[in-house]
Amino acid sequence: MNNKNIYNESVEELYQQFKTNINGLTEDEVAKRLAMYGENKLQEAKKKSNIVLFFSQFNDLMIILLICASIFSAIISYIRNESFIDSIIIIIIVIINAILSFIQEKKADAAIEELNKMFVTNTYVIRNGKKESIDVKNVVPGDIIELEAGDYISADARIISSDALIVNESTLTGESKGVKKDNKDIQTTKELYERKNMVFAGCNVINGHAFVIACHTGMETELGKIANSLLNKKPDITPLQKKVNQISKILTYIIFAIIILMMIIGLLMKNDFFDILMLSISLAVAAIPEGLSSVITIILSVGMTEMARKNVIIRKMSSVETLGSTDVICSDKTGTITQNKMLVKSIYVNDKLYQETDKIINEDMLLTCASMCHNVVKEEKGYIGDETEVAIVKYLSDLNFNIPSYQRIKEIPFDSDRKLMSVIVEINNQKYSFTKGSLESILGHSNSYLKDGQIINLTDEEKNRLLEIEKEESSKSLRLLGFAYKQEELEKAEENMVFIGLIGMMDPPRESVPYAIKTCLKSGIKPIMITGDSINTAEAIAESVGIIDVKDKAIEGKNIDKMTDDELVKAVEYYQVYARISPNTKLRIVEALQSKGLVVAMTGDGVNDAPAIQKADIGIGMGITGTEVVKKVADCILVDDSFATIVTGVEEGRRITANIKKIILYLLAGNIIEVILVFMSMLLNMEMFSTLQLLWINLVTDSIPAIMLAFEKATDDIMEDTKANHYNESFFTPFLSAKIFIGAMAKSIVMIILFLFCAHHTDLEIASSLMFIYLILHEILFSFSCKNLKKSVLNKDIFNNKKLNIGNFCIIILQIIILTTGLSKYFIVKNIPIQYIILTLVVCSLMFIIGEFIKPIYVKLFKDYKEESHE
Amino acid sequence: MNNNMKGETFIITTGLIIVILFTYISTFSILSKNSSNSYFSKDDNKINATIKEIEFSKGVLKLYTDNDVMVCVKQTKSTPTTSSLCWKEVKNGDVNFSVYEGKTYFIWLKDKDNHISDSIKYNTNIKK
Repeated sequence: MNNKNIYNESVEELYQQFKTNINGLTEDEVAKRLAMYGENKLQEAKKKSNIVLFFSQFNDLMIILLICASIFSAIISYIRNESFIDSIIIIIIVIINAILSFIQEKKADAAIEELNKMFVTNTYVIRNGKKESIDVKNVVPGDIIELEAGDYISADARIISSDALIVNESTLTGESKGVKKDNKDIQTTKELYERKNMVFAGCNVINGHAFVIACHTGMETELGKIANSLLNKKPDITPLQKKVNQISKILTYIIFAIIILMMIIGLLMKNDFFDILMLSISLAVAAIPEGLSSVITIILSVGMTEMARKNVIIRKMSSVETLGSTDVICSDKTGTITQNKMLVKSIYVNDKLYQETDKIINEDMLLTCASMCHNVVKEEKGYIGDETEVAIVKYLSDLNFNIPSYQRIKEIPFDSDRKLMSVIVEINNQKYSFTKGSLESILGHSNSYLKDGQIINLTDEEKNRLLEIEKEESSKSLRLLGFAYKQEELEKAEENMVFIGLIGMMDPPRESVPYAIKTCLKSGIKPIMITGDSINTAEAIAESVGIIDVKDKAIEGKNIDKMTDDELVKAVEYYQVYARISPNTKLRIVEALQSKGLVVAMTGDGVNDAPAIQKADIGIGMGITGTEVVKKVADCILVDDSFATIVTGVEEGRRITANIKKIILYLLAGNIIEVILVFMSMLLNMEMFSTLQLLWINLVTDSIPAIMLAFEKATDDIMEDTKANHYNESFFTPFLSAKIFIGAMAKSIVMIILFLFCAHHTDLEIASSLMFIYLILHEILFSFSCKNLKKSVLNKDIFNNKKLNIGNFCIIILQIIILTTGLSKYFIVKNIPIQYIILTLVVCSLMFIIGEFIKPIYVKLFKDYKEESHE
Repeated sequence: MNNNMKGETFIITTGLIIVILFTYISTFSILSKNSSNSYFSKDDNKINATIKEIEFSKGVLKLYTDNDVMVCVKQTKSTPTTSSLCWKEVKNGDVNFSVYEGKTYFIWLKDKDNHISDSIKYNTNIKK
């Protein structure tokens, strides 16, 4: 290779340099180059080794506190000449916890890696003279790549030929405005953003079409050069994890405050120093919800896998919560609400409207125009291309229309601003321009029309009549495409055209959508349809699926464009159908909704949807029809493109958030009981729980049911329109706080009374052993209680979470082992009178039953959301 | 200073205060300690009772006293109050306590006039 810059070389020089040509490489050559240059991907951030990953489990303030507690315990044992068994067991439990967390983190990583494998980005290349779609990682230098609007650019490449090519290079330059590109040679040295004859990896095509030759792949690309700084980027912390970290921080403050208070009280009571130290250790252990952070990570990764199973692929962990908090779903019409299976239903030509089955006279020009204006390819598995175009091609095929032999000279691709697509072709040495597009745009660029072979002046009256026909047909959910042609001045192909006729197509709604819309409306989620279609088609479809019940809830993009931002904010409260919407207007609608504090989900498939998808709180890309760019910027991807799947995703997101609330209640309520009891121990001048007992409860008895609660099914009210189901800044709503604190206080009082009773009738160590048994049973029963925070679980559904049943069964077996075998001497004293064990179990069970009956009182007294502060 | 930094500073400062306090009290406590290693109560001027014998077997600590007094056995070293939960009456010269193996227990006697003896310690590690 020479030292010239790639962009200074001519295409021919590059063909020689890369030993390729317009027919592309051969498979053998590709294999050789793949071996030589490696896969076309950026070097991934170094994964933590297993040892580093294992030791990182100890890098947690709470675990460090536990290790300190173990060391303090060992010092006390040494001074008192006791065995070190407590310290050893604490360390063993901490290590077991680290091993379990390590295994869970590995599993979570594996699950996410598996999900990532589903994001295969493809590109079209020419190999052996044939166009084929390949995974971008298999692109090699010398490959000829075909690019079109919506494509992700996979390699740094020199443009061979291009047509209206515009590329977004914001990934590299930060400039979000599209850059026009062409194949002109450049002789001088240029900055990256000035290299107009090059396209760069990581950027995307927003308009036009091009053939390029791949010159650099993988880490050799411009993107690769800056990738090193991205390699060790810290993983994003989700809002959920932030909330959990906040809880941990608050707990740390509380622990320190109580320890200081205990020290002051202890010193005032002239208690022994070691007693204060031991109780401080117990308190720290009691207050720390050791399993919380790892349980949240597990829940989120389990949630992501579960969502993938339901056709929603989550790209960012935080999206699980955001999806559940969605207030508005802005959905595209085609393919999401409808089936994206267009069928030709009506034809308007020569001033007459026909049905698709009618015999049509003098339709040749219309059919010729329709047969030229498309990019459908027929392959073995069927027609490949835009659904509208496929419908027309199928219709032509059914008619056995004899397409004249022609040569395409140029294509002016469709874009959503012009709403036109044109081709210039040569038929029998005669050049024609054929255009198709929205009727409004076609009529706007036509000055005459064709009737039975005669070209007649197109008056405003005639235009209005045609628009009336479109309105009428659209009200039957038909989408109309206008067709026009031109024979002269083809350099201005889309000006002063001759209108030929209309083809009406229908894309029927998906069967699952009406029910999903109903669920949305019931759950307080506003479904909004945003489409490029005419207002009449949009209204008809929206009405048929239940998005609107009155027609005046639809508005056209041109009317929105006249509104100021403030006017639009008011308008979005009312309108639910937006027709003829341009990408900019789409973005404004999203911003207006967000300015009202709503959580907005936005679907999209085309490259023009990307800005709105990025702006939305949750961008939803389409798995089937979505362009690579949309898939890259979306927060989640719908595998089946269906609107109903979004609603399933929202339900799943709500279920996961609700389960996290349950788990927080479960873990924190247990910890608060322990803190209260340990504090009481100090006031009573004794030790109610040993550190070992508390650790056993927190790390073993609590963690397993907490994880299993993640598999809890959604409650009946999960899709109801309640403020609790919408986004809440904090988990600590009055309801949850009351459940945690009042519940823990009441239970602690009962336990203290029981403890005093047992201590009075037996002795201290028997009473504290009974409290340990009480707490274990309480945690098992409470895990069932947490299945539903608002309604009693004493019904047939109490055992419907099989994983929770299995988890609790394992816990019971473990408790039997530690209470009845040789290990029991570390947890309970011997010789506990059986009647006191029975009394303890009965009181605990009664408390569980009472707790279930008083759940409605909490619901009545405390709100499960925070009132918004109005400053 | 952002909230996070304030939070961390608070945690570190509070942690340091606790460690310094512990160290101070610990040093003071260990240096001034003059505890007895005897397993039997020292005669107290105010209390007229002694523990004659202590047995530990199968998780039960059995104490024999020479008077019908009250006995307190607990793991914390702080002297119990006269109304503490830990007191158990000696009947027929002995009293039983269920205890853990391998732990140090502190034992006090209390007579009818609520006089409390000094503590003695007994380690359930040591088989007698």
